[in-house]
Amino acid sequence: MATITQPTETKTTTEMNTDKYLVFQIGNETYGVPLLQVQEIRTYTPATRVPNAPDYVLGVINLRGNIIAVIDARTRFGLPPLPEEESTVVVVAQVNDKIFGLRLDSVSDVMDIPLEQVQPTPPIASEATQRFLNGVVQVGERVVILLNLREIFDIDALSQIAA
Amino acid sequence: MDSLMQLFYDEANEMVEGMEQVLLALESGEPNPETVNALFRYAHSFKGNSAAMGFTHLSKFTHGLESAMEVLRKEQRTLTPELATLLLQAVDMIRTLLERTRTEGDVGDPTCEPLLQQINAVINGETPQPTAVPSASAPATPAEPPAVQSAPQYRITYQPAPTLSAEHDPLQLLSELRDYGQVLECRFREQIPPLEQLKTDACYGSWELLYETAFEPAIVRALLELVAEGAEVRIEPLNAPSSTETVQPTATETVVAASQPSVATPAPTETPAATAATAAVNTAAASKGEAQSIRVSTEKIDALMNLVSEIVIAQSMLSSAQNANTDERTRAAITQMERHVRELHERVMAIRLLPVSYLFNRFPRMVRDTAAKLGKKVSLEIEGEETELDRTLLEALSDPLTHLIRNAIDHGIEPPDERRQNGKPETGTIKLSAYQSEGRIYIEVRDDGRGINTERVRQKAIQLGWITENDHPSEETLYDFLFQPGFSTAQQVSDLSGRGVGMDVVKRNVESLGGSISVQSKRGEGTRFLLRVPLTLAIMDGLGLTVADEHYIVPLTAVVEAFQYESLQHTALFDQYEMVNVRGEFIPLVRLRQFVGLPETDQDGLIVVLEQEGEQIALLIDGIAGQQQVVLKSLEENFVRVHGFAGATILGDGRVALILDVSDLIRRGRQSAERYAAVA
Repeated sequence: MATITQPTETKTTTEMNTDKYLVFQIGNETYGVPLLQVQEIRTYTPATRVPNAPDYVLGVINLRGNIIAVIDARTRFGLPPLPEEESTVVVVAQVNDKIFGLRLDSVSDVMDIPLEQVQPTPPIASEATQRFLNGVVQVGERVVILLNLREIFDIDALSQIAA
Repeated sequence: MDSLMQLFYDEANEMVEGMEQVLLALESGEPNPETVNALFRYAHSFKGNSAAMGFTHLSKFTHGLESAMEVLRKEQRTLTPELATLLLQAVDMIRTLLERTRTEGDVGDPTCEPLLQQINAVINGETPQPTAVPSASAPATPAEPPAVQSAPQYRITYQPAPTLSAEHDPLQLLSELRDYGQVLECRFREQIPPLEQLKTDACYGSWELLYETAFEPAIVRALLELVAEGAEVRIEPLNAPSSTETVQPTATETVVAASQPSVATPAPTETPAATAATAAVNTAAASKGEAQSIRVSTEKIDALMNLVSEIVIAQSMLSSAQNANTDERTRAAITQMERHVRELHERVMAIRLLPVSYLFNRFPRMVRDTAAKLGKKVSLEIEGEETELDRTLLEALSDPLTHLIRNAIDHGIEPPDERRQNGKPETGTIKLSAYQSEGRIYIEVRDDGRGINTERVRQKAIQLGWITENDHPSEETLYDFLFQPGFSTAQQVSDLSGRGVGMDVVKRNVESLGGSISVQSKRGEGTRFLLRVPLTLAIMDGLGLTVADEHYIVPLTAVVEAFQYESLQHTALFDQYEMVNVRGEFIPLVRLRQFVGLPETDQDGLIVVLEQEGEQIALLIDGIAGQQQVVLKSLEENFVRVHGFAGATILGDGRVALILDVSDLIRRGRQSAERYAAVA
C-alpha cells in the first residue's frame, strides 16, 4: 500500500501551465486523473458485494473505519474484467465530498500534463463512455485521455439502488 | 462523582467559558445581535440544566440573568463597559456557585440577588446606587437574605418509620424539602439504644426542622407524605416572625446541616472574609482531591479508533500468515497479540459509546419538579434507554431534549381540571423513547396534551409580521414557525419556557448533528417531536448470518428464534403467499438469497424469526456465523443509502458486512405477499 503525498504546488514551471496527473492503462488506452483528487493508492482487497448495485460497483471496503465503494474501471468502460493480480490497485479519490475507490489493473506513472494542450475528446470511445472523458493530450509519444471522476462515480445514478 | 453529575459539570464549565468569550468579544468588537443571542442561549441552557439537576440556586440566578439579557436582546442594546463588567461578574458568580454546588451541595451565595439587581438597574438605565451594590469580594450583609421575612414558616417534626428501607431515605426527604423552600434549621434528636440492643436497619432518631417555603401547607404535606411513607410527620405553621428564634441545642440534640456536608444558608455570624476563605479552601480541595475524568476531543478518539481498526486488520493478516513452519514462540506471540488487540479494540470503542439512559436519567427529576411548579400532573415514561449512543451525540442532545420536555409540560400537558373536563386522565403522560432504525437513531418526545394550536401559531406569525392576515399557510409551514428564532406562543414568560429561544436552539443543535426534527400534532390529543440523528458510531449486538460465502448482520434484539428449515413440513402457500408454520402460526417468509440476489440452493437452511414492532418475519438463510458486537457505519457517508440495509460494519478481519434493515425485511415480506395476492 502506498500513499502519495499530495503536492502543495501544482504548477511546476512558470513557462507552461501544467498539472500533475496519475496515469494508468485501461485496455489499450492510457488514462489520467488529476493527482490532486487522488488520496492514496492501495493494494486491492476483496470488496463486499452490495446487492442490487450496478455491475461496475464491486462492492464496499473498509478504508480506516470508513465504508467506501469500489468501482471497477474496466467494467465501467464496458470491458471484461481481468482477474486480480499482483499489480491490481485501488486508487482512492474524492469527488463531491465522497470518497471512493477505483480498481485498476495497475498504475504506471505520475506525469506533468500541459493544460493548454488538452484537446476535446475525439469520438474514440462509445457514446456511453464519452461522458467519462475530459479531453486528450499528447505528451511526448503518449496520448493520455483525461478522466472525469465525477461522472465515473456518479452518485446520482447510484442513488437508484435506494429506490 | 456519578456520571450524570460529571456531565453536568463538564457542560457547565464549557458554558461558563463560552459566556466569558462572548462577553469579551462583545466588549471589544461591534455590537452584534447574534452574540447577544448566544449569550442569552447560554443563560437559558444553563438554567435548564441546573434545574434538571435540582440546583435551585444556580437555576434561579441564571434565570435572573436570562431575564436581563432578554431585555438586551429585545432592545438591541449595546453593551456598555459598565454592563460588560457586571455581566463578567455574573459569570464569575456562576463559577462560584458551581464550585459550591460541587463541594457543599445546593447552596446559594448572598451576593447573587444584589448583583442581579445591579445588572437590571444598569439595563433599565437607572444609576446604580453604590451602597446597594457590593462587589463580588464584599458581599452584602448575609444577615438580611432577600425575601426571607415574607414566606411563611413551619416547624416540621419528622420521625422516620422504625425500620428503614431503600425506599425510605431520610436524607432524600431533607433534600426534597430544600427544593421547595429553605431549611432554616435542622436538629437531629437521637434516641440510640445501648449497643447490644442496636439493630442495623432501624432508625433511632427524629428530625425537627424550621422550614420556610412559599408553597401552601397542603403541598408541603403532600410532599412529605410522598417521600416519608410510613413515617410520622407533624407540620405546624409558624406565622409570627418570633418563630425565627433559635433553640439552643441541648446535650441530647445535635445541630446538623440540612445539606451534606455543610449548612444550607450561610450562618449569619460568618464574616464575608471567612466565607471567601472557605470557598477558596473548598476550591483547592476539589481540584486536588478527586481523580476526575478528563475531556478528550472526539477527534482524538476517532483517530485512535481508526488506527485500532487498522491494527486489527494488520493483526489478522499476521495471523493468517502463520503456517506449518512457524515456530512455537512466534505462534504464542501472535496469539497473545491477538488477545490484546481485541481488547484494545473493544476498549477504544467503548470510550465513545454510552447508553442513552446516561442522558434520560436526568429527566424524571426535572419532569417532577417542573410539573409540581406548574401545578400539573405528569408521568414520564422512558423506553429504549439501553440504546447506545455516541457520546458526542448524547451531549449534543441534552439541551434539545430538555427544551422539548419542558415545553411538553408547560405548553402540552393541560392542568388536571382541564384534562378531567376533556375526559382525559388527570395525569398527563410524556413518553421519551429512543430506538435505532434504518441506520439512524430516533428519539421521540411524545405528550398526550392539548396539541399545537395552529391558529394561535398563525396569529403570532401575523403579529411578528412573517405573514399577512390573508395568508393561510399549511400545517407544516406553521409548525416550521415554531422553530424560528424569536417565536413563542406562551402568553407569559415563565422560568420554564416560552421565551421563544428553546425551539430554535433545539433545531440548531439537532441540525448541527446532521440530524433533523419533525413535529406531528393533533388538537386535543397530543404532540410528538421526532429527532433523527445519524449513527456515526453506534454499537449493537449483532447476529451474523451467512448465505453462500456472504456474511450479513441482523440486530440481535430483533431475533426471536432460529430453527432448522425442512421445506415440506413448514412452508405453505396461501394465494402465493409463502408462509412458514411456526408452532401453528403462519409467518411470511423472505429468502435471504433471493433478497440479496443470489441463486437459490437445494440445501436445507435455517429459519431465523425476526420481530420488530410486533410484526414477525421468517428469514431463510444458509447458516449462522455467530454473535458479535458490531459498530454501525453509514453506507451513505461515502456511498449511497442501499435499500434493505441499515448500514454496514467492519468485521474483525477487516472485511465489511452489511447490516440488514429488519423493518425493511418486514415491509418486503408484507409487500410481496400483497403483490402475489393481487396477481392470484
